[in-house]
Amino acid sequence: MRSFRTSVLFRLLGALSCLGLVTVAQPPPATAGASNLTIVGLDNDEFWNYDFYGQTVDAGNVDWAVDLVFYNNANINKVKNALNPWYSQTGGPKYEYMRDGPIGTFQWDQDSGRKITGCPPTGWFEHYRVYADPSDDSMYNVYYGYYVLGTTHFDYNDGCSGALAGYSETAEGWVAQHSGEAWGTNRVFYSCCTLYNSEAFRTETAGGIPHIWENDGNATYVSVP
Amino acid sequence: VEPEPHSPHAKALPILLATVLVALGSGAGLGDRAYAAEPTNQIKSAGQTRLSDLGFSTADVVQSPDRGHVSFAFPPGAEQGPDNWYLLNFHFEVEIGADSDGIALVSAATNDRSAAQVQFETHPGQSVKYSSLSLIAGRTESTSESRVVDVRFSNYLQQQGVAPGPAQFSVSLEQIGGARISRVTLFSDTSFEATRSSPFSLSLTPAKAINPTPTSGRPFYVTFTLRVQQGRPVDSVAITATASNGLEVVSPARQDIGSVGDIYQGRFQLIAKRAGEYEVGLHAQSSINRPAATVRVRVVEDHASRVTPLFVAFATVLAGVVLILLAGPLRARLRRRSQVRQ
Repeated sequence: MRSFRTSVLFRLLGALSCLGLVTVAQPPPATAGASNLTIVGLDNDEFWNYDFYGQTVDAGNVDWAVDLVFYNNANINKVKNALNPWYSQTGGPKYEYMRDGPIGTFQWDQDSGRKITGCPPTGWFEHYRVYADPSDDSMYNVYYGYYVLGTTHFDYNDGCSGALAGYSETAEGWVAQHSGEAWGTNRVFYSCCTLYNSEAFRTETAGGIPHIWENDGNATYVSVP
Repeated sequence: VEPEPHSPHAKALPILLATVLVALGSGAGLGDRAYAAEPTNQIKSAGQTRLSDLGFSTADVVQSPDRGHVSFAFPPGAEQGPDNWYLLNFHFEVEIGADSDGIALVSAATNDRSAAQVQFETHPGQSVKYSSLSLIAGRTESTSESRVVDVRFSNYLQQQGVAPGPAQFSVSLEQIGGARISRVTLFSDTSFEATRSSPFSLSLTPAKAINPTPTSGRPFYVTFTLRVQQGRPVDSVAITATASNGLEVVSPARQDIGSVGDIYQGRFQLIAKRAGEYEVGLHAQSSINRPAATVRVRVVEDHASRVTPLFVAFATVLAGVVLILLAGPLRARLRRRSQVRQ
């Protein structure tokens, strides 16, 4: 299980930045900008390594870095069902663009994801989204089996005044922990494999709220039985 | 303000629906023979091996807390590609409760690596929608008016689901929401199939014969056919030809084809100065896979090109001889005309 202490300083800086205390030199941009937006291949399949606010591939239109891969026997319904004890509420829709190799063309998938609670919330709550070819609810190749992709982040005062969002790496750790509780800890491989989407800790603004980046570029893989 | 660690147990909701793992062979009337075939039951390295060949009889699979399995063995040296591939031909039947209202997933795996996942969407009083995804058929979606649904599904096994020696085949059932599956029957004609056919959808086939027979000094064509599996178009297709020493590709050595939706036939023009045995390499690229093929070409001597100069020389000599033979009488005739005028 990842340690929360490692990111305490960053989170403190993030909190300060949210209060406008450490962003004097460089005002945050109007939207969140990905540092390493690119297409990643898994065997014969491909996907963009961030999800998007809308159906436009643009580094200035991203939401969060892809940091979860549920594989082997995964399926969107199955993942959400298994994690439902911890994440039973839905959020707002975002989009991922991917290609399941044998099908041959890139497709947009939309997911609102699941999170701990809805509005009115108090405090921080993890929120994950999972994506796959929209017609299949999963993707398949001989190396990963049936798999889906996921993004994570924390919401704070989601949809209410004083809202913040971010800390993907920390949220990834929590979703990974719950995945281990659902399917077995030996099936969870924390931050094992790069998806080339590391993001230095910083605060931007997206959707009118602070967007706090935190991602090591390595996704957690979960082998779903 | 920072995210605080949550206590997952404090916030944990009851598990709404448990994953139900189904034990093969734990049903009534099903003996040990079906439940645990001997690991020495090795499947064939070519062709099909049915579960019945492994000692398994068609059986109702009954819900069980334990994951069931059929033991078998892959042949020595078995691996998933690149030359030899293993398929699962999964045949089962589900009986869906009349009050079923949710999603059910029936999966099958070798060595805990899933190669089959069929999703059933059920609602009371409505037809059953079921769908699947495989490297053979792509996505399929069907509808059944009956609550008893017979399913045949084929797919390539996962790479890590194939390894030499003892292995396990397992089936599992997961019910989400209010799904109620009252029966899953696994049929003994479910089989493993060893094949040399790649799971990748673009195939390249060169023509078996080159007509007319290539001759030295004259261009000839090597033709090829690119095919994709039905309903699975392939993008960014290009093909490149390479020739062994002494053989030259006359046409552009690379052809950018673009998208192939069904079948594409093309050709490369080549020429060899001398007779001999040559090889032409065809290398296709695509968004999916990169099939390649080698064409062996036998180029024969161009006899016509050797005959023509000889014929010209012979004709020239013949014309000269004729001219010489005719020259004497012609000269005499001219001399006689000249004497008459004087």
